[in-house]
Amino acid sequence: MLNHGHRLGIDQNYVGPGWVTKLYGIEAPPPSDSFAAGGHRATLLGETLYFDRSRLLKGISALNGMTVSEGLFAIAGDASVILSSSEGERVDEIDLTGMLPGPIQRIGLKGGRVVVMSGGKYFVADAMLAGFSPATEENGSGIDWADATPAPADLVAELQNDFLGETLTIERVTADIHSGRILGPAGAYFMDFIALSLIVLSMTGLFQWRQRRNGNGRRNGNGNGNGHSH
Amino acid sequence: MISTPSIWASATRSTDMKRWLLILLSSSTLAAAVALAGDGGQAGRYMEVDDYLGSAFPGGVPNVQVLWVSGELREDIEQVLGHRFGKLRTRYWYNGESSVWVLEEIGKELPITIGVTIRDGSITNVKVLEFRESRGWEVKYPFFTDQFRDASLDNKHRLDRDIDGITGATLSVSAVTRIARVALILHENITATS
Repeated sequence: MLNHGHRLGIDQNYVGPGWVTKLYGIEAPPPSDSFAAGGHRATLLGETLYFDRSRLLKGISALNGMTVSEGLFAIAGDASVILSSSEGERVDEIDLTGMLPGPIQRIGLKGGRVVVMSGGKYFVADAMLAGFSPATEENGSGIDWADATPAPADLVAELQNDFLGETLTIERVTADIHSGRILGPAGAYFMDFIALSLIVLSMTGLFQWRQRRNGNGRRNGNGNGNGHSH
Repeated sequence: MISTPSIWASATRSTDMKRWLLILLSSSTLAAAVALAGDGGQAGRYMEVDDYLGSAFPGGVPNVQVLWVSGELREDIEQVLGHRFGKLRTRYWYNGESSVWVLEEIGKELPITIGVTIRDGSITNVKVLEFRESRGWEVKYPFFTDQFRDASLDNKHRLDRDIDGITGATLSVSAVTRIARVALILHENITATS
């Protein structure tokens, strides 16, 4: 099962939240940040970015704001701007790593154009929100910056439950059962003992079989096989 | 009296056993050395997108454009990928002759960022821009990516050639191959409409 994990999909499917995640001691983190704009909300839990109740993207290390322009929601990560539709569908992700002097500090709107601030400098998006360019004459005034606000408690609870459902793959749990590590370090030693025992039992069993076979062969070679001599 | 053949047989068995033990010890040591050597941690960002664009368009990088992926185009792409195309649109650069696509596809668990340059319906360059996993990074080397040079699609959206794989990098090889096909489909779409 482990050898064919990818084909079976066990590395892409998860054990849901419940006693298994509790056994592993996994707890959902509190939200790092949350921003509201245009009647919707972006929240970061661990490294998972949520748009309202939809999981938008994983692997996001920071959430630095959200604004909306022409129906597209622009969500600022550390060095990229993720675009989402109002339904929480990922539209695009614009990687600004090579352009910015540092991580994105803020994101906002000015004159209908999305603006990000990094290292004290400003970068403005084009009309299609396809790319950004340095706004050398921008001084930061008049920009409607996004500000963090706490996410409602019921939303946080729902997101945390979803987060737990995406933490443990079936492959991980299977591998830990196979190695014994699901029972901790003692479990691993126990499985080592079982494996060695199987090897020893196989070899001694083979040895005993050979001994018996050789013993039967010697008795048959001396007479008529029933132990009597004439 | 001990028979000479018995001594000879015993000595021969002893020599054989020593030879086998030596072979076993050497093999074990070699296997351990290979296992402990690891893969050297070759994941990383190999090239910035801007640098890749600069190399693809030496006469000047055109403005970025946007292609919304929907309808039949999305169906074709998702058939190649074997899963949903994770975005509603993709950006590209096109100067009327060559197009450049920067796309991502998951190898085993994490996305690989790949740049593809296409001209006249054939690939002129494939470059792995960023590799995030601990295994399979060998696909970044020209010995692998050069296989895609001049590749094009048949009428079933398959490449017109077989791509040799890399042992231990099967999933990465598959990801890069799928992206090459997707880029060709996207190029076909923008050149047909323009």
